[in-house]
Amino acid sequence: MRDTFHPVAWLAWLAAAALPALSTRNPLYLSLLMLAVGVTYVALGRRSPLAKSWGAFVRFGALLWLLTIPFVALTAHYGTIVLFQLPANWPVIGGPITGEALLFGLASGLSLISLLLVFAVFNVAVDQARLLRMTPGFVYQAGVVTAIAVAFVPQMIISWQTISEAQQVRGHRVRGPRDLLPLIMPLLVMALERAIQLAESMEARGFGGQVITGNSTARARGQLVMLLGLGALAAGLAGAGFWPDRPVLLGALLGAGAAALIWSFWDQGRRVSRSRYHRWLWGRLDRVLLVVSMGAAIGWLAVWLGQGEWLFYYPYPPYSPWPAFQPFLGLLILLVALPALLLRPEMTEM
Amino acid sequence: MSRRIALLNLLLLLALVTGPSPSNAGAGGVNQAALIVRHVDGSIQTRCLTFTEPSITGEELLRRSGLTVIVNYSSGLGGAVCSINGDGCQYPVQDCFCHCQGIQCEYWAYYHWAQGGWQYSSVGATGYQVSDGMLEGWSWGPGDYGTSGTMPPQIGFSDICISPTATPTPTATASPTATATATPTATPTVSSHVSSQPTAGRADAPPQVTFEAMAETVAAGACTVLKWVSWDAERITLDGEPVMAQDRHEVCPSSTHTYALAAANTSGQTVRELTIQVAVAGQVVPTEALGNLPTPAEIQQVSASTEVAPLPTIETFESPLDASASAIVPLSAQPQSEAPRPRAEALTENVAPLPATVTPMALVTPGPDEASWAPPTPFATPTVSLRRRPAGAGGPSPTPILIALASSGGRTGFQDVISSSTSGLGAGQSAPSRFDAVTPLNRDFSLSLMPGYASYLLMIALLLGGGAWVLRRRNIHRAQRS
Repeated sequence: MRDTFHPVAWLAWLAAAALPALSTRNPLYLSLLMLAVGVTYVALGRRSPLAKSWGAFVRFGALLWLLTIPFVALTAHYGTIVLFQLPANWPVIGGPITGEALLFGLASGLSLISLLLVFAVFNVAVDQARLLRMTPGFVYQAGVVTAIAVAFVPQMIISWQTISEAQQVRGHRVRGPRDLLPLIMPLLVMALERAIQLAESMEARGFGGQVITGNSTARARGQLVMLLGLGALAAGLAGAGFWPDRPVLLGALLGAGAAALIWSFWDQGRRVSRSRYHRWLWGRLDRVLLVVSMGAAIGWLAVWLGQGEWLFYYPYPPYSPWPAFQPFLGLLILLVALPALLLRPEMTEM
Repeated sequence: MSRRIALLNLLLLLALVTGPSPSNAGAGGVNQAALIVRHVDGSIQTRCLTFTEPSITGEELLRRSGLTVIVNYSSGLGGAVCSINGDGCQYPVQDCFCHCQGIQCEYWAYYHWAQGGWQYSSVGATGYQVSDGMLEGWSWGPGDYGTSGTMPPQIGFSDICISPTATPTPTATASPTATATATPTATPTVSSHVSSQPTAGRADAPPQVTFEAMAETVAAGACTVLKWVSWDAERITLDGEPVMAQDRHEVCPSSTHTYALAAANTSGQTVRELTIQVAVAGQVVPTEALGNLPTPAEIQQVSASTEVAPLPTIETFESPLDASASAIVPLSAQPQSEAPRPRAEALTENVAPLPATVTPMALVTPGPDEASWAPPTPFATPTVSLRRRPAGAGGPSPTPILIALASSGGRTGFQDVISSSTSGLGAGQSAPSRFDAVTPLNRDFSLSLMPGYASYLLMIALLLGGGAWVLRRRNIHRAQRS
């Protein structure tokens, strides 16, 4: 898969796109975000076989959304816009079905599917192997495990599609749950075989061995500093509940703990020897995307922390069911579509 | 055949589940349920609501009370009460349990009155059915979410719902029964009482304290446990020794002893005294520091007549923390007229013989809409009912939670957040008053939203145009390659 932008630039884009989806239920912002992310997705196209599987994820999100709306509408019987009444003696769903509940279900589902779309586009745009290389040295092994875990579902979907095609060629038709057995069994076998192959290949590459160089004294020092740092952090956090009138002491504890941990991580990271065979180059477009996305993310974060009411939407009384729209926030969301404008067609070919 | 049997079983099960419940037997009648709400500052609101349905949910009862309630439905498993009349957390700007994020946990606990006491609700208000004669309580205070909370005060159903069909007592100033249309489906009759602790306050008032003992009279050499909960306190001392905001402490006095719990913040100090009497062979050991507390004979007399334990002495001092400062006794300053006697005074007399420095609790009746909160106005009544201490600020949780800091959030900034949120909503909002603190927002469409909607449509058009341009460029590129 060819590079589009630098993974760091894409990470900044991910922050700019995911923040609105995480912080608001306002359907106007969310629908605008979905459209902006959709335009980026169209510009990227299907750039890898793995990317195809995310279409299934998005369809699953849409299905969840469609289920959320009636679920909320049938279970939350509160609001002034009464659409119709169900008999009150019906358990759980009995009572007035309100427009507010319908709106809330709609907005909640929008938030979910927006987030799914954002991550789907991010996975299409960025190769996971490249992301894996970016993990800091001291969490390299955890990064490998995480990358494998993240790739589990897409790979399973690809395997399912492969098995289905093979069985269809043999004349297999799915008419009921029992007909799924010829599909599930090979899927299970394939998953086990892949896990064994993965374990063997990782073992052959020395995964799990001692990657941190240095003598035992240095390692013991690092572990001691980490222990002290964690202890100071725990004491500071617990003390915030017991002695809130001693901010200086608590601040000192938290600061010392954080500093000790950061030093410990840095020390461990610099002693991990890793080989890099490919050097990434920063281009002008990478810098543009990074700066603009960082600006959008910081702007949104500032609004979230400082003007939280701008993101506010809750259709139930006493609040208004009419969502408000701040043009400034709309402009921040428009910036999410920037990759679509920057990407040249030749950059998106497989 | 087996499918038919399965279908039949399913239909039978559905009929059983959706069929009329035994509680529906009383359908058609007028049912009554009582509601008690204990606010952040310890003040109490009570409601007596009538409804024609056989039962309604606890959440519906709360809503029909006319109080402004914010409920979080996002869990999908029913509603969680975040705020009542502005007390609590302003969801969704704040987390619904914004005061329950760490070691401190204060939230709206839901209680049912059962078997002569408050029972912590094991289910949410959305899933609990309230039927005729039930008493429900909501209380803000420290607790452990899901297992315990701060109990509402001990008020009986009959104290709130005096009579289902009672007409207002012809008094000079009161209208105890108010009619309100709370929901489209019912027109409940709501009789409201608001009782308040006059010294209660929020961030700018002295701390709230409850202080009680497991037993106030012990044998010589025996022990008892002192329990206390405080709110809005910065320093708490028990007989001069610093203690936690909520804790229990075992004491074994050799003679009758008065324990003083002092809670202080920048606005003042609240001192509560509790006398543990030591009895030796049927006699009470002479007190060490009883002062002007009632004598044991008086206590026994009161206990026999009211079944209410004598109240501890309550003294509130202005800041700075000076014992010589003048005591604040807001309601005890009411004129001691002969007839009709102020109800507050009458109640005080029936509760306990308190010394002069005791701040009494008062029941006041606001107007039908409770549009504003004014200083309590006692009203006359020809009959005085025996009543338990109405504003005892709730007992501590059954399992006291170790609270490191008494919250000083008071009103939790709700008013400010609501007021500022209107700029984003474009809807009008007036400053809340004390009870009915939150004026309902304007929920209708406002023209002030139009510029925002116009810019939204413009941005949608921009994105659609951008998407079309991207597709066109890609198609041109493909055509050139082919």
